Amino acid sequence: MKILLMVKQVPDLSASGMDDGKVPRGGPSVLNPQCEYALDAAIALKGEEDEVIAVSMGPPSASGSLLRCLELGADRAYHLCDPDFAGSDVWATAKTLARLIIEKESDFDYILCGQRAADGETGQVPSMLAELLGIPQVSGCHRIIRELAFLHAWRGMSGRIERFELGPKALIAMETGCNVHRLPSMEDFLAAKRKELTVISRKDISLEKSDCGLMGSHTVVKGVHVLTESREGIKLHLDDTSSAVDAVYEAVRRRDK
Amino acid sequence: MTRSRLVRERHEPDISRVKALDGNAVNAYLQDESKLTGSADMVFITSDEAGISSVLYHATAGNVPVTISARRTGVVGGAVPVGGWVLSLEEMDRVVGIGEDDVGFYMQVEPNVTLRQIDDILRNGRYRDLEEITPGAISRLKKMGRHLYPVDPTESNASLGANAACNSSGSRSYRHGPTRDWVRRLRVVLADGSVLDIRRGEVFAKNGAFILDGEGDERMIETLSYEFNREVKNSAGIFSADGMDAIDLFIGSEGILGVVSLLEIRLIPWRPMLSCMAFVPDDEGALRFIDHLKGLDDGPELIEFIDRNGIEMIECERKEGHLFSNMPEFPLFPAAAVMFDIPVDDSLEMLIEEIGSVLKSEGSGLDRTWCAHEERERERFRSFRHAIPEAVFSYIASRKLQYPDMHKMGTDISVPESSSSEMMKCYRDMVDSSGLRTVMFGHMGDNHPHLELLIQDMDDYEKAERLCHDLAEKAIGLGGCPSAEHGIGRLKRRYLGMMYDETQIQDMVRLKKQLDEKWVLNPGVLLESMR
Repeated sequence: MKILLMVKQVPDLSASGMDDGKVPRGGPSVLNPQCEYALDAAIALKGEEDEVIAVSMGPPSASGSLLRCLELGADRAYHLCDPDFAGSDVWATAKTLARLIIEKESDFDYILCGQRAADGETGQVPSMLAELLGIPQVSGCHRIIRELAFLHAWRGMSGRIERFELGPKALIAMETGCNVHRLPSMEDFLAAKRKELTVISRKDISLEKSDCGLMGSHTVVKGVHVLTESREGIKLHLDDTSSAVDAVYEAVRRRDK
Repeated sequence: MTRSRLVRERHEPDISRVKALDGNAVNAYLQDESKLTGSADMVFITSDEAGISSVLYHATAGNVPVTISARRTGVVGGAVPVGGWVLSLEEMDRVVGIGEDDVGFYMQVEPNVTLRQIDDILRNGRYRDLEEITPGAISRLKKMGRHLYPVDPTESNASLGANAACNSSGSRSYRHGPTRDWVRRLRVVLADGSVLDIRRGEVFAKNGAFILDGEGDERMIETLSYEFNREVKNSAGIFSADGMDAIDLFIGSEGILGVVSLLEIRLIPWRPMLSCMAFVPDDEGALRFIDHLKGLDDGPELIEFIDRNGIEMIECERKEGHLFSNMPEFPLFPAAAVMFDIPVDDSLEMLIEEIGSVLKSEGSGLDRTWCAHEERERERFRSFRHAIPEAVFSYIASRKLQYPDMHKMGTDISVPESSSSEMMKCYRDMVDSSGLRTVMFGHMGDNHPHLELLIQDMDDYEKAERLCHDLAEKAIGLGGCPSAEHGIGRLKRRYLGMMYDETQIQDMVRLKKQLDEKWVLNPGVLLESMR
């Protein structure tokens, strides 16, 4: 089984927080948290004969996230790294990823992705990629298991759990996963440094300039606004628990109306 | 051209503009992380240097003791008041700006700025609200790439002013030295409310004295007669050296000579690191592994040790789900752990292989390690290490409910490299014969582990006091220091008498009186109060 693992490097928002609603640039980066779930799932599915190939598009620093995938069990990696890819929106990104897959790894069985990236928060690339490749997709998953050549994927949807059975040539996007954090060993680090990491430029996958980067994008972020809570809080000064409970109940009842 | 003259400046004293608290409101200021509890009549909260000056001027005029307080993260009771006033610097938490000189970039900060704040600015390039202390400094810093303040005391909520006051160090001092080496400038408010502005390299002691000048009142400040022990990490006692820089008089003096109102700290270029944690079956093997790490060329930036008891304590916390519930299982258990950071450069792979063969000879291996290069992961290692003292603090706080007189007991001993093995043997032997429960962790790179005593009752407490005393005595005999980074504060004053003879202590008393005649500043901290 060949699994393609699509990952993204994002700013480490857990350490930096936001700047007026905008994602800060220039600080440290990490593997996108939802891509971590996809990585965990891919490695858990991988048998001895199988191959997990990590793919990321991004600046040179994105190789750090691919290194993490390789440390934790991916077999090799592609890094789509070219100034011509800069400024890609979701459409241009999906198109570039699809072209790499068609050109280099068209014999894949499954594609695993994080549902969305912590910086852009669009959640559209997985679906667009599946459409461009003409394959079925399940979004918002939290669990995958393998049964021979088939995968079973679970997701929560409108208060119920859905289970899908997928044959080869399908895409699964992970919303959550296992919370146990994995740490590579120095042996894993050394092994990862010796695994194959191929840097791919636009020309390597015969992509026109007009199909990628800013030129191939249909959307541009013009501004970001922070929405603030407009409803004011209420201060209650009360002496005993019983009247406090009554007052809170009354305040909630009034607000519901 | 150097000089020995310190020029005093003065603010117009006006205490009415300083926020004051009394009654129950002072209760929040009576304890620090030592869990020692004090008392105070009033708390003054100032947001600027003029406020510090006004409070100290009136305290001296009215002969009222003043205890300086900021984040209260100290563990030796330095911020615990003994009556009188508390002067809280909690609102002086502004990072002022960035400057540049011949040596490199520096940052100007108010005393209550934390390590966490400056790390956030430097890590994320958040220079937007900062001033250019020298023209073009910020744009040049941006161009030069990420920088770092190299001192990293474990408590990242500690304030920079307090770090300077007790010459804090931390894991990275193994390579970079303590706070003293990184302070470029201090503004210090003296007990009479006057202010000194001292830049490193400008004012030096001449014939064993500084001249304190200003307001037509010139006096000599005689320095101390002893040579401060700089062979080991040392935060015990007032700094002294022949022809010393005036700035060093105040760094490490625990706020008894003056109150820091502004600092400038030096920055260095950041470089990528691989953080590693190796698990070794026993403490002795881990210590031998550390010796090997110390022998490497361009070796680790820091070397930290957690003994088997420490790892066991973490494992218990993890199993009970209090802390580390999302942490993977240890790759080796039971085990001691060694944390170290190595630079990511061309020789990294060769270095890892070498480390692997040493680990193998100790019954471990590269597969019995964790490592991280992404900063989020590296930060997790740091929190992991910090969780041990936090778990100890929380344990002592729980025992204190039953025994109110109990406070945290632990060592802060450093010894020279040549005595490290002997000292470690001493720890083992003395702990065994005391029958006390302990955990050991800390800065083995600097031969400075912390032994924390998990005391259960007042019997244990007395045993622990004896043990700490005996260990301190042994360390001093080996040329070490019983207070390497926490300072002396109120809790470790008796160690001063073990490190310094009576003449030397009287020398410190004389110096204190020259700058604070009425002994209003932090009385009972470092030196016994002469009030």
